[in-house]
Amino acid sequence: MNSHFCGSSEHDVSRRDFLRTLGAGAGLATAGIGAVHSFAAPSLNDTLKANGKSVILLWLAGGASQLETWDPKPGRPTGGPFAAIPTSVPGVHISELMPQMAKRMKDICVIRGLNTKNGDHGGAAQLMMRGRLDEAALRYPDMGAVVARELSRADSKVPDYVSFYTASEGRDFSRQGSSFLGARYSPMKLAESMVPPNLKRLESISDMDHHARAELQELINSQFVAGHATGPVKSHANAYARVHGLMSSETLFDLSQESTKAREAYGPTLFGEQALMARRMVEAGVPFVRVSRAWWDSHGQNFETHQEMVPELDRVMSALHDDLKQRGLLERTLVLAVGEFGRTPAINASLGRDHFANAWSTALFGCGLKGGAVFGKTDKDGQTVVEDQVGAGELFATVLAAIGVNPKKEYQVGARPVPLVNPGIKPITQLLA
Amino acid sequence: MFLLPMKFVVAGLAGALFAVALPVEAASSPPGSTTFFEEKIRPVLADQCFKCHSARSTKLKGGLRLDHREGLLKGGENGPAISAAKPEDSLLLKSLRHPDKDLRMPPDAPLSDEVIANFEKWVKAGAAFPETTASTAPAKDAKPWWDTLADKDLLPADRPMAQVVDHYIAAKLTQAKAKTAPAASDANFIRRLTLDLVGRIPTTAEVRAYVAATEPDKAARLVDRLMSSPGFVRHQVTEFEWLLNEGQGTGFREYLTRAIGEGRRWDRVFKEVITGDTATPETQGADAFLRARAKDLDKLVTDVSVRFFGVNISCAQCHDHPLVPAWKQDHYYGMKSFFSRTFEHGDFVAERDYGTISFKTTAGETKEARLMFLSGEAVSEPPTPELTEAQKKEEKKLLEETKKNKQPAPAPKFSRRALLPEASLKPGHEGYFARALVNQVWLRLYGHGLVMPVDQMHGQNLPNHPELLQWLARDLVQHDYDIRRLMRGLVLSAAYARSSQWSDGARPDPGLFAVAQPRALTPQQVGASLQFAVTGPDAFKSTAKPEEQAKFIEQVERTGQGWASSLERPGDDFQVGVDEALLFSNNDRIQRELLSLSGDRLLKVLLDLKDNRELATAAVWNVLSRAPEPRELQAIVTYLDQRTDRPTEAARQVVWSLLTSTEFRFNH
Repeated sequence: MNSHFCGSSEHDVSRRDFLRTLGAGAGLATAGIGAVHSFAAPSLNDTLKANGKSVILLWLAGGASQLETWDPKPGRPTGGPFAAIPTSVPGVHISELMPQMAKRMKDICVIRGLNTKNGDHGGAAQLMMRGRLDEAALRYPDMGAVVARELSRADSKVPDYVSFYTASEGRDFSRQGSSFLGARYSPMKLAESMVPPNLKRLESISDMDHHARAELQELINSQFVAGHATGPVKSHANAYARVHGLMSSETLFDLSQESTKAREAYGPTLFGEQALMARRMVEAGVPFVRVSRAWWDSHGQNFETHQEMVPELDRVMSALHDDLKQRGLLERTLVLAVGEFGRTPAINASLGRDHFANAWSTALFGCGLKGGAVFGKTDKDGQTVVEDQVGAGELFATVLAAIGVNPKKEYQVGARPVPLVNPGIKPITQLLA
Repeated sequence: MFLLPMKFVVAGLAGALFAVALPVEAASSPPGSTTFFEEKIRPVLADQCFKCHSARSTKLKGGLRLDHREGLLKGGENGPAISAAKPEDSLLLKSLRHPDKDLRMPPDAPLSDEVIANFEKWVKAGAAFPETTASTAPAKDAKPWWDTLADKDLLPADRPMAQVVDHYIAAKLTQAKAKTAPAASDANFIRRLTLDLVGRIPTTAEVRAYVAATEPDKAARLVDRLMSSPGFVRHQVTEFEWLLNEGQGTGFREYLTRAIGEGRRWDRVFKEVITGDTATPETQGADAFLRARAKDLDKLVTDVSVRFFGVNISCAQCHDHPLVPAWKQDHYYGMKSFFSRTFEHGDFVAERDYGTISFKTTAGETKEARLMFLSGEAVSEPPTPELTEAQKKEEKKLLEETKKNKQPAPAPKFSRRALLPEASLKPGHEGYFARALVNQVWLRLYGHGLVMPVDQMHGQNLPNHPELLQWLARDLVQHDYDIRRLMRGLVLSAAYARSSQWSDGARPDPGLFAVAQPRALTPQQVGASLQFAVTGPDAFKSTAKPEEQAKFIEQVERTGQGWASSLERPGDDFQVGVDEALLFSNNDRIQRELLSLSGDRLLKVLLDLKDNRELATAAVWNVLSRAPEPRELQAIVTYLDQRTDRPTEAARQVVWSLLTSTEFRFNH
């Protein structure tokens, strides 16, 4: 419990990695921290908890259509105008709007049997983010908070959970929260800006004084903390001890450090840039990043909407895949693209598709998930799941299992043990390595 | 923008208000700790063993229970599963590694070496198995603990409350052979008390006056002064508003202000909140609690049970309570029945005079719920009227009309809801309400409840001081449910006044009250205290008239409330988030609002002082409400001396480091 920073060799490696990503400029500021906050023995999880694994959630707010992405039904009354194309996995076809992902299908898992039953934005967003609905007396932490809680380190120099949500659509529906896990695991939210607030030093104080006053604060704290060594007290000192590390992560949010080629691959859109940032973050050790892309809620003009948005998703997702693979990060990064639900097979009078949660799809890859696997099957019109039906809980459990977290683990909330997923819910073992 | 997420968290605490997450700690937790057990052992037991060896087993195999420690020690047909004398020879460990497949456990597949190694470590370290969390189903006829305590076994009712508190706490400390922390210093005591009673730190003048006072009863005088000040009502309103309604609801604050201001009996407050009758000026706003929940009856019944009776019975919605044999689904639906006719009607809460609810038992049978309080007593009511089609139509029309005109719906001829206060405050049944109130106030003042968690005050969860809780609950009932009397008694005990400092090894079990608990300040306490800390000492001295002084104090308090909205309300196992540290480190509001050089601000006052020693001393007094330690004084003076080229900046940084110190952030 009292081991200090840099206690483990794994940690050293990871810190080196981190410094490397930040570039030489940040080294100076970071180097000072060990000295400044040497007393602040991390009270939380001070060894590298899991294995440096991370999750990037591409949150398709509003609900993308499974028929125009992973589960096309060409030629059927519900199929719409787009064709299905073959992929690098023989026999597996996806929408022609995703030619890039089709080429990479060998590395991708598709789940076509989602039946989550909830077609209301608010409830469904909650369900997909938390793997279950809240109870009257208990609000569950969301996926990001659970992953942050399980994989973060107390002395981490980077945020544990970052959430990009620039669009206003659905932002309130998908409120995130750490609930009983506490503020420590709440997301750092980036809504109006690409850089988190309060990360930058005010110009009115010099870098030297900024460090020096923290040192003075630490000295004033030292006796108090020693005489009051409780969890909450230590968490306060610990939060301040992380300030300079996080401030030095400012360069993380600076995309100009990426090559033109990399930026081009992701594309010039906000979604692309944020996905690239997500890659920078997992590389630096952030356990969970959510990148939200809204405006999928195509009650009218579904096909125009998807013709415009699916190619962007295709580009961003494939760029992310290639980038992670090239950097050797694919084995330790899981990417999941999902929203609150899919869209109705039936096409409405405004040529739109409405909310549909009974038979829809999601795709995920990385962290040893079985590439090329297609799990679940819908009927010929996409109305019902006819094979291997799964719900939000199974998806949640699968993500946890893939990153090495036992979904059956329990948190103790008051007198009550609360498992990470509801009893009886199991990960989809067919997709796990 | 950064402030927003934290607000969400506050709103999101709805259900988890009383939740206690385990200390967050993992890989390096020692094998003897409960954390190790929760992380490494319990999940395996639950996953691999409980099916055949626990309360939930349909058929208990080998007579062995592995869901509580006694089960392991007692063992089954083959003898004890763990041996306290020779842990390495424990049957449990042997069976995990047994070479014969038929004797090995679990039978399907052996556990991994790593997991078995964890079991070995755990057993050798004493097999820690937290009692309160054991899924132990107590004997079917187990009596609630309070029924085993006769009135005559308690100390006489006329003893002073503070004495009674200390009597019972001392008895347990002796029994546990535990050491206690010394009494807190006067400066420490007045800071703690001022924060608890009026929600802010004391001014330098208040601390100095108290330290200098020589009357033997100066603590009692201070308590009485603070309790009769207007700040007392404001702070208690904030606290009870949070406790009952998470600080929301139009008109609720005004309602509580009237109620607490006039010292209203708390059983009456309870009654007014539950009936939601806002007919008189005194009760206006009392329906805020109902209004916030009328849409979701399960939430309403859960919140009423948790907040007023200290019990969370929501699990009995789907199955009988696993820990409390006396609580069946009948109790949950019995409680729900009090509210089943309640509904939202525009901006009002309305109630019908007909309608019943039924529920499905775990056996699949459908049952009609009967009105029933937690004590298990069925409540009688007039027969439920059957409405004719015509009556229903007429009712619907009337409701639509009143809703359209933004009027309340007509009151029911008979109100089920109104029966709950009656049933729960009846002599012999009022214990739930009284004990819950005592425990909540106690938790707030002592940082640890007499019963933990505070929403598990059922008959099988023994308090750390059962007689004390019973005595206090009896006192509350016998003295008009007077919360002032309760608070006054609790803060005058020697236990409340102990130091929070503990340097003698591991801190003792908080349930012993051997040392005071440091408690994170609430957002309102932080906000108000920041403002008091950065207001120069003379600003409080110069105002001559007491009314003016009171007004000024209120004004300073109010300016702090802007900060409150950016912080999270601390729960039981509060952790300060890094966003708070970033906010205080880099947001320019800190600079502009707290560290400015204008008017009566502390910084201005400090810079007018002659030398750095004086400056450092005054700064520590104003912010931390005490004299500086020599080491601190030295450090601050050195800091200032090294920055003579930028004295203003240097002083600003010193004040910053005090304002953001851990000591300031806690009530200790």
